[in-house]
Formats: sequence, structure tokens, C-alpha cells
Amino acid sequence: MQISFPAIEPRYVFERVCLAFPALADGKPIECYVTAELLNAGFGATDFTEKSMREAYTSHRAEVQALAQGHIENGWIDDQNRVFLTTRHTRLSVTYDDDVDKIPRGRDIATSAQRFLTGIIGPNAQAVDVRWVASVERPFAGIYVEISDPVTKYFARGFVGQKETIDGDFNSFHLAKLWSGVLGERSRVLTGNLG
Amino acid sequence: MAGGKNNTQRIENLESHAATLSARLDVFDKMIDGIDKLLEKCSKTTEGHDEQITVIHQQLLFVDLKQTLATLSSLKEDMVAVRKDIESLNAWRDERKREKDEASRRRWAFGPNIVAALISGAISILGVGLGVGLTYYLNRKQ
Repeated sequence: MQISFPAIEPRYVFERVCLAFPALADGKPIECYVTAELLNAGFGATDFTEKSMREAYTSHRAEVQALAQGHIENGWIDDQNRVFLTTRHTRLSVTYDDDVDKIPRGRDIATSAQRFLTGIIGPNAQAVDVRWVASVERPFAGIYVEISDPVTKYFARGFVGQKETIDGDFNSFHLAKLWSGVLGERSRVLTGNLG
Repeated sequence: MAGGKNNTQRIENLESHAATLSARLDVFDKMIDGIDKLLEKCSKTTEGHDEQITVIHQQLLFVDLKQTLATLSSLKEDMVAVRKDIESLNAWRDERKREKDEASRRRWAFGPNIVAALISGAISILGVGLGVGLTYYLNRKQ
């Protein structure tokens, strides 16, 4: 996918207190929004004024655009072709163990499942670690995924497949269930933090 | 502030909560989609199996019918044999009955002869006794 960012000044969006800048993904126009909170927390804006936000954006333009590019590549674009960069933006760490390549088509299985998982994790999941491992020992041979949440310390592990016996729909459901477990734990923690 | 938090912190917490709940709803949507697809797939598979089961059922029924026919045929043969046995048993019973009746008839036919012989014997003895007595009486009188 060809992604570019036209060299024009960002637009200040008063209603959302954020800066908007355009991107082109394979020629398709996309509007990217970076919030004042993120510019303040991650890119050095000293306050939530337009001037301060513009200064932070200008000095960290490459980083902000890289973040937007990541969102576009992962398909985290809403139905109105908008990308939102917030303090809760997903910081996804994906690793593949060497053993994955020992399983026939293991890497294909893992990358395909990761694409689906990335889609359901979405753009506002904060820090998430995903590790793809493989077991070659019967009867548990196959690809496994381990999802860990650095915030809640929740850990989920699930079997994804083995060789050609993989059912895409079943895996999608299974991965969604694993991620649902992570979000459920977050909800539980957040509920504990309420008032 | 309640819970030791100011309004900003509380709003941030609520924002996080709302974002997490929204994400959970999205995942549930995906899960429902997955279940839908699996159901559709399973339905298609089951549909195919239904037809196969019908064919197998018909075949089994045919096999059953053939076996039933064979059993019926065998039963028919057995029935014929049993009927023959019953007929010969009836004939034997009739013969036995006839023999019994004949024996009874012979027994009853022999009875009156004996009675007649006994009466005849008694009369003879009585006649002899009367003869002897009469002779003796006449001899004494002379």
C-alpha cells in the first residue's frame, strides 16, 4: 500500500480540540486527527492551545505521520475514511518464534491470523503484546498465539491451527474470543477504579 | 472529591471505560459474525448429510424389506410343514378314537352274554335243585 502525506499545514479542529492532516492511501484521501491529549502526552505540547499543538506537531511531524501510517496499514480507518490518533492508540508488539517456521505453512497461518487479530484489536487498544509460538510435539503440534496485556497483566493463550486443517471462520471466532478475554479483564480493572 | 479523584481523572476513567466497552461490543460483533458463518457452513454440511442419510435410510429399508421377505418365505415353509404335522396328528387322533370306540363297543357287547350265561347257569342250578328236591320228596312220600 502506497501511503503519503501531502506537505500542507494541519487544520485545527475546534470541536474536537485536535489537529487534522491529510493522507493518501493508494490515491484514496484519508483525514487523520491527532488529539491535543496525545500531542501533550507524547509529543511535547505544553498545553492544549492551538499554538502549542501546532509547535508539537511540527517538531514531531515524522513520528505523528508514522503513527498515522501504522493505523492506515492496519486498516484502522472508520467508514468515513478517518483515522484518529489518541492517547489510547494501539501499541502492538508482534513477535514470531523460530519454531513457527518448522510447521508446514506455519508462517502463513500465523501472519494471516495476525492480520485478523490486528483488525479486531483496533486502533485504541493501548499496549498489547502478541507472540506466535509453535509446538512440534504431538498431539499438541500446531500454531499457538499468546496475547498479553502489560496494563492488567492478563495473559491468554490459544491454539490457532495445524497444517491444512485450519478453518478460517473457526479461527476468527477463536481469536475474537481470546481478545474478548483481554478486554473483559480491562473492563473489570476499570470498573474497580471507578468512583 | 469522591474516591480521591478530580473530575478530569474521573472523566478520563470513564473515557477509558467507554472505549473498552465499545471495543468489547465490536469484538462481540465479530464473534457473532464468526458464529453466523460457522452456522451457515454447518447448515450446508448438514443439508448434504440429510440427503445422504435419506439415501442410506432407503437402502437400509430395502435391505430390511429383502430380509423380511426372506424371513416370511422361510416362515411359510415352516407353516406348511407344521400344517402337515397337524394333519397327521389329527389322523392319528381319529384312528386312536376309532380304536377306543371299537374296544368300548366290544366290551359292552361281551357283558350281556356273560349276564345271560350267569342267569342261565343259575336257572340250571335252580332247576337241578328243584329236580333233586322233588325227587327226594316223592321218594319219601312213597
